[in-house]
Amino acid sequence: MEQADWMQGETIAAIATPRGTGGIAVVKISGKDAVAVAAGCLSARGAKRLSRARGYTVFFDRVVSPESGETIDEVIVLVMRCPRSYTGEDVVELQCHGGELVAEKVLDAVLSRGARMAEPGEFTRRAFLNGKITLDEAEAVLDVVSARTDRALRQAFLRLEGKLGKSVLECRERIAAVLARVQGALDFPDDISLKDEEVVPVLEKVTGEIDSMLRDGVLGLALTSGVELTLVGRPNVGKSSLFNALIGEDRAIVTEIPGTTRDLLRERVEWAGIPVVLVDTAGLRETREIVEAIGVERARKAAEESWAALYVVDGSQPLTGEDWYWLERWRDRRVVVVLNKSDIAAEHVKREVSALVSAKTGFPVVEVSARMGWGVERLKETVVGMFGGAERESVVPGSARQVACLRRAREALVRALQSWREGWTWDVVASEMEEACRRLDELTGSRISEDVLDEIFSRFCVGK
Amino acid sequence: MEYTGSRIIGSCDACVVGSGHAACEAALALSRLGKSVIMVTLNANNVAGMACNPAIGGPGKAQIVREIDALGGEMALAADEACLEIRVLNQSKGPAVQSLRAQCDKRVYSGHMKAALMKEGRIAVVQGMVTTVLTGDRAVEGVMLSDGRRVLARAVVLATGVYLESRTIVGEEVRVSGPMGEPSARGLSASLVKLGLEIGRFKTGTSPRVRRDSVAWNRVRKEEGALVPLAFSFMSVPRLWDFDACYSTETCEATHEIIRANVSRAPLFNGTIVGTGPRYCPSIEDKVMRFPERKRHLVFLEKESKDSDEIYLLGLSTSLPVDVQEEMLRTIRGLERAVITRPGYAIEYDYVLPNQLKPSLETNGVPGLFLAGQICGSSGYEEAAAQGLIAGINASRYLDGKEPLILGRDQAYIGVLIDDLVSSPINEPYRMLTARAEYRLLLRQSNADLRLTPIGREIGLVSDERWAVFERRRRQIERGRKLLDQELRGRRAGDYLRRPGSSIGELMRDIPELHELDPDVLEEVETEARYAGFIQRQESEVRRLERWSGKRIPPGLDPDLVPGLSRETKDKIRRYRPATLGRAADLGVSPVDILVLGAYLQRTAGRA
Ligand SMILES: Cc1cc2nc3c(=O)[nH]c(=O)nc-3n(C[C@H](O)[C@H](O)[C@H](O)COP(=O)(O)OP(=O)(O)OC[C@H]3O[C@@H](n4cnc5c(N)ncnc54)[C@H](O)[C@@H]3O)c2cc1C
Ligand SMILES: Nc1nc2c(ncn2[C@@H]2O[C@H](COP(=O)(O)OP(=O)(O)O)[C@@H](O)[C@H]2O)c(=O)[nH]1
Ligand SMILES: [Mg+2]
Repeated sequence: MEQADWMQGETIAAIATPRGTGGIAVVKISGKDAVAVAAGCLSARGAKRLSRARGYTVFFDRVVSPESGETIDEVIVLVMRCPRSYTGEDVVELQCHGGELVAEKVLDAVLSRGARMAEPGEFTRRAFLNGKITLDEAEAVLDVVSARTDRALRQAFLRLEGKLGKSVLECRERIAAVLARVQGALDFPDDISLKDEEVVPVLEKVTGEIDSMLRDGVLGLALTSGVELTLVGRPNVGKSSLFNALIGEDRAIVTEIPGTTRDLLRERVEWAGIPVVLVDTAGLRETREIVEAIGVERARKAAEESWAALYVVDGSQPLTGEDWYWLERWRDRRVVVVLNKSDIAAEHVKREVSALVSAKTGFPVVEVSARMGWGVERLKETVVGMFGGAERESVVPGSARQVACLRRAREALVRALQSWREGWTWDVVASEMEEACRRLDELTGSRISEDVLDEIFSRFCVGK
Repeated sequence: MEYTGSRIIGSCDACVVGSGHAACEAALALSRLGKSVIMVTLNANNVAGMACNPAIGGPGKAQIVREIDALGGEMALAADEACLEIRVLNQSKGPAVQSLRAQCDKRVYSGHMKAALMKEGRIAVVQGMVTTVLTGDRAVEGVMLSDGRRVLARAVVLATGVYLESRTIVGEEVRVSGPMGEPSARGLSASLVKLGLEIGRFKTGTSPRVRRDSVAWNRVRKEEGALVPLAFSFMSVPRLWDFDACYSTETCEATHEIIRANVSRAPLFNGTIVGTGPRYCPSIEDKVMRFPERKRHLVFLEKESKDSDEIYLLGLSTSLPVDVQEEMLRTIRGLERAVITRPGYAIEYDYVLPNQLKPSLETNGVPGLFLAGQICGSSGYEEAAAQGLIAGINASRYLDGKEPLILGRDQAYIGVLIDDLVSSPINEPYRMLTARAEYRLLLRQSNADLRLTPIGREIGLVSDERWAVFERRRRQIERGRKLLDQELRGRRAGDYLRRPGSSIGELMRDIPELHELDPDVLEEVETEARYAGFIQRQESEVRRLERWSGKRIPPGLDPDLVPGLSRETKDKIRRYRPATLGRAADLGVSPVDILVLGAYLQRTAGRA
């Protein structure tokens, strides 16, 4: 029917408490089958009780595994009935005692009973759409949960302000001006004749400008979702020490035994106002021990999926064949080579290694001492420099949605030019130009589309 | 009560005021839907008159004419009968903007409409000036004329064009008058104001006419008509027209000098004219002053009628004094000795701000009172006729207690026209342009019947004869689509056409069955196949935007009931009644308010 997906009241679920806080974790279920889904996870008695329960009933029960029938955890069940709930739909909350891991299992059980994993902000979005909260209130929730930094928040709502707004508006105006020429010629064929030179060079130029905005787009993305930086390198070169030095506290365990860090460790920091997620990994090396092998595999994946890798080497020694292997493999990726332990490395060794790495890979090389804290600031600056520089903040599109709009606008322009080159008629070319304008209007918010709504709510955490 | 002294001269289902393009379509639609009609007009001899240039169609307008035809209206048939010459504009610029334009014999055109009205047998024509709309407690009850006569009706369609409180202006000479020496309609505006309607003032202008035998025909260029048979109506047999109806010449520096020297005497520039004129149809003094770099402007010499002695000078619309008009002509090649029979003039008139109308063209405040044509702020014969047709249909449906017909922006130019009129600010006389239709690849003149004839049939305006013609064409088109859907040398046959410059003729050898299809059908399936990629994208774009922008705002929505809307937004909603969220955004409603409104509509959707 007319109703969009997000209002169908499809049943959604998520862990509503922040990760890693320990203690009680809450699994929240909302939607038209929330009660049935929850009942499916409870004991037979609990299920019966739940289906009869009125709004704001609380009782004690247990969640059982759908496959084995074993008890996963003891839970407190809280029922809220439509429309008197946070989202305005039927809501069931399961408060688990067993901590995070157990909560994950409870969530799995709920999902296997037909609920769908909630998207970020989906509970709040439903609350807003059902008139339970105003947009201001929704934004207030947002402020608490995901305003990682002031700057990111400003950027997320950046529209017609700032340089981005201006350059987008300029592009739009220039397309609109030539579009008016084309449309004029189509609507007043007796009066206005159209020359290709009036149209094509402008479109080409604007396409180029959008290209350069898109190239800078990574900073915008960084501002809203945070960039991931992964520390990799052979064991014992000092990755974990550097991790600690970069976050300014001792989170990773530092030992002299190679292979100590087996799992991934993440920590959120902020550099030049940009949220950065640092990831510490196990060392990269051939190993027989199964647990460590898994760790190595994870390290590789993390490095390859993150925005950039910090490849750490022991600067007091020459690089090994393994080092060269990885640096070669990641030739086309963003990598900073970190020469650690500069406190104990001989000057001439440092110079040689540094020159050789630069020459062979072209990656930036930074000398640091994790132990002494030397060079850590320079390392941060190098990374921030790769973002495009802190001072360029407002020239770039702010969010994934804005980047997507910009990309769509560009595609439409490219199609306009292409169809013109292929000899298609002007009516088609004009339609593509119109689409480009429309996409830019969506970017600046002067035209509304579902994407805008998606963006606003996607900045909420899952479970809110 | 106060009218008891006056004489009731008739009682009917619907009273149509006017006999212009809007009024004719409205009366015909009402009658064809079984309603009795009384038509009141200032001049019963002037039926569907062309006050301006004698041509029908052009970009944006031809599509409307085809749509009127597809729904069962009369305009296209009249244009075909009166055609002197017809051609396709924008032939090389693509099917979305290809537009027929016919130069018509004014008299034949008017005669055709008169005959059509007569043939109905259910339309009584009364000559007189309507001064008052009569209303009862709830709804409209009829109209009263200046001499006190009354017509009782359960629905009223006002199609009074450019006549309300009109003044004509030629140079310093200002007269209270309608076009071409007809009377100005006095009093009706005041009656509408009393009903709570807000009135605005627009102006438009026309060109001088000159005597046919005073033109040096050997010094002007002949404009060639089309070399292929053409027709507006899906019911007409396309014909070749070889009447030499149109010639052209141009202004020169000397002409422009004269205009510049006399611009202080131009009412447009010296403040005599206060109404806003159409940007799209500027007077020659406007063009010269606004585009000083242009060395010349085209002038077309159009015969107004086969046996008429007058020539219309398209492109020379002006309200300069007559002596200046004469001086101008002296400088134009071929017109040096031309004798002006009727000087160009400007006309200023009242119109009703169309945001006070529902998309059905019924007024918000007075049930049963419909408005159509230039009175709604539009300009042009085709725009007027389209509104007349829709107002006629909806007045009839109002009488029957049925839901009104409202065409979408992705369905018809008529939908775009009415949506623009009723839900956006209109700052100048509204003329249709292809640029106004965001889905113009879907709204081709060539597929108007496929889009609308089934709707016209359901409404009851499409005759059995028209339906049979349509069904035949639809069957052929479906057959053509199937033929192009088959495999040919490892590809879908139609895909061979997916490049510019390709022609369905190239496929005829491999698919001989294509020969069985009519030329117009071949052209249509060729266009569909060639533009398939673009058309599909436009369709999915419609759907993408519709999900939010297309969300309907109920016409009766009280914005005060929506918590959290800004005052400004509430005012805009009250004033323009945007039909959809997208239209509200076009009015400048802030994104936040759009979200608030969207959420409100979403949660009330189930309850309505
Ligand atoms: C001088 C002039 C210049 C124009 N220039 C252009 C142009 O440049 N471009 C363009 O596109 N269009 C132009 N037009 C507009 C075009 O003629 C109109 O848009 C079109 O004819 C409007 O049709 P209509 O049916 O709304 O009204 P009209 O054709 O104006 O018909 C109005 C009818 O209402 C009747 N009427 C009015 N008041 C009363 C009353 N109180 N009681 C009874 N009957 C009444 C009249 O007798 C008449 O029959 C021009 C018109 C004029 C007069
Ligand atoms: N001298 C010196 N030793 C370091 C430095 N960084 C790390 N180490 C030592 O190197 C060893 C391995 O460190 P660790 O951080 O666990 O390395 P990882 O295996 O790469 O994570 C530990 O004994 C650290 O104390 C440094 O900058 N200088
Ligand atoms: Mg480690």
